[in-house]
Amino acid sequence: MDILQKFWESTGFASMTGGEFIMIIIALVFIYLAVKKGYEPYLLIPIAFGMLLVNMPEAGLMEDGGLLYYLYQGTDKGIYPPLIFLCVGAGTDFGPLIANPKSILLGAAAQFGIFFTFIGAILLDKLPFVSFSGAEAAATAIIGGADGPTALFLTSKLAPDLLGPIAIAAYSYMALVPIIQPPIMKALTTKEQRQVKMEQLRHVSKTEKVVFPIVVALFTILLLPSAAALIGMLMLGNLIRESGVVPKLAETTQNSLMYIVTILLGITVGAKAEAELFLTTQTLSIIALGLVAFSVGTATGVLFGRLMYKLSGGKINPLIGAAGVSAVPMAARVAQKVGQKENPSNFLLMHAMGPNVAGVIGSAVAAGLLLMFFG
Amino acid sequence: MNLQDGISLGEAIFITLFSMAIVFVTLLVISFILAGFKSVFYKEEKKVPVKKEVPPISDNAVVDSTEELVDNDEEIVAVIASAIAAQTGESVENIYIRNIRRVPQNSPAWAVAGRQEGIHNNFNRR
Repeated sequence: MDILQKFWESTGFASMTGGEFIMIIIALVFIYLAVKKGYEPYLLIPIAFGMLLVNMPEAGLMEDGGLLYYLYQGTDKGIYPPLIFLCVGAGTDFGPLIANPKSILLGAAAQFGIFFTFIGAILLDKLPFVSFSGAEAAATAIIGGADGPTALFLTSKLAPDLLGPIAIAAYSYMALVPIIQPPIMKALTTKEQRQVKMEQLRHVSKTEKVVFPIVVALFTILLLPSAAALIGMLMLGNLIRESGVVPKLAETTQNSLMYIVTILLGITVGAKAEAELFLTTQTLSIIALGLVAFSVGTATGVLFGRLMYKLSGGKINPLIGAAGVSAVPMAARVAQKVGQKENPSNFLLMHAMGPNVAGVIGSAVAAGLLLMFFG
Repeated sequence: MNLQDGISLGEAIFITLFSMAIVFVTLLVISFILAGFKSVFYKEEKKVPVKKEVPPISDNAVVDSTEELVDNDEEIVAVIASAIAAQTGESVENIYIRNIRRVPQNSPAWAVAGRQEGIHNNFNRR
């Protein structure tokens, strides 16, 4: 009888807390959303399962010596997110950006969402039931960069305890871009502006595509050394792609490596969602602020697009400004869709890819700046 | 500025303005560099081979060896469209012309003459 008693006490059933129980339910809901509804399944499945595992009492997977603890070092030390950036770089065609350099500014304008949210988080800190330190506010704000690896990189450096909520907010809103963006885009533009057809992009030579990552890496990292990990890996990936002499590396980074790192990153980010860290008012504020970040980023991108529409004499369709938030390539597809609704013969996709990939560079620069201030 | 503890609204606004300025300046400079790309590298890139060769219509056409893009010249587009239509038996509505480019003439003059004679004979036979 004594043995039975001891065994029962050693099981997770006996020692589960209410918080852990709620987290397991949340994890199961996420798994349901990923499997049944297809919401970002590549990420949500490892994240949700990580959440599930870490909230099993007595398993100790995230304690020193546990499996997830060791895997988590790659997230904690900021290794996985830049590796994802390497893969993203290998999968990104910067051609549309090179062909239309002006569109890069739209990628800058949309970063305002980050800083607006930053101020929002600082204001929330003044309320009695929420608290955000400067670093936590910065990590929350970067959700507005709409770029998973950037958000995780910055959060792992500035506020590791917030990794769970921030990852979930960032990736959920990225999946929801087709729902969040169109109403904002329509509210801020006129029908006539949405119908603008843009000139065809010029052809971009191979030389330009090869020189691009080298020049951008040199300039950006010299200007902002704290952005070196993200920009450096992104541009290395892109050079691998564009050089054309290492097709095997390009193939590996775009596929195998990408998925390997995604599993490791996902499961360890999920493992950061322990009940006592996750079930807080801060998580709710982060989820609310994330939505603000996305919406404001979209709005400032579109407004800047309107400015460029004016300055260019009606040649630039302001809708492509919304793609400046990054969320590659979802946001560009949204711009294409909204544009085509107004004018079925309009193809904005390639034009929107310019601000879209510029947004990736823009949010990496913003992350570098926040790291400089709070790191 | 001590940013490790809570920060004031003033500091937050300063960080916002400063950072947005840097983001803009960084991307603006990249944009200028890219604009420079166009003038440095763009001219090299005009030797793109054409996928589909369009048969020449007029016999004595002297084809320029320098290649040029034919931009929106409606007459030429109409002629080429009708030529393709005649050749393939498709209706003009079903032919989409995305891009017309003059092909550099690589074959020797004798070969060209021979080909043109062939086309001529074809026409006469009909």
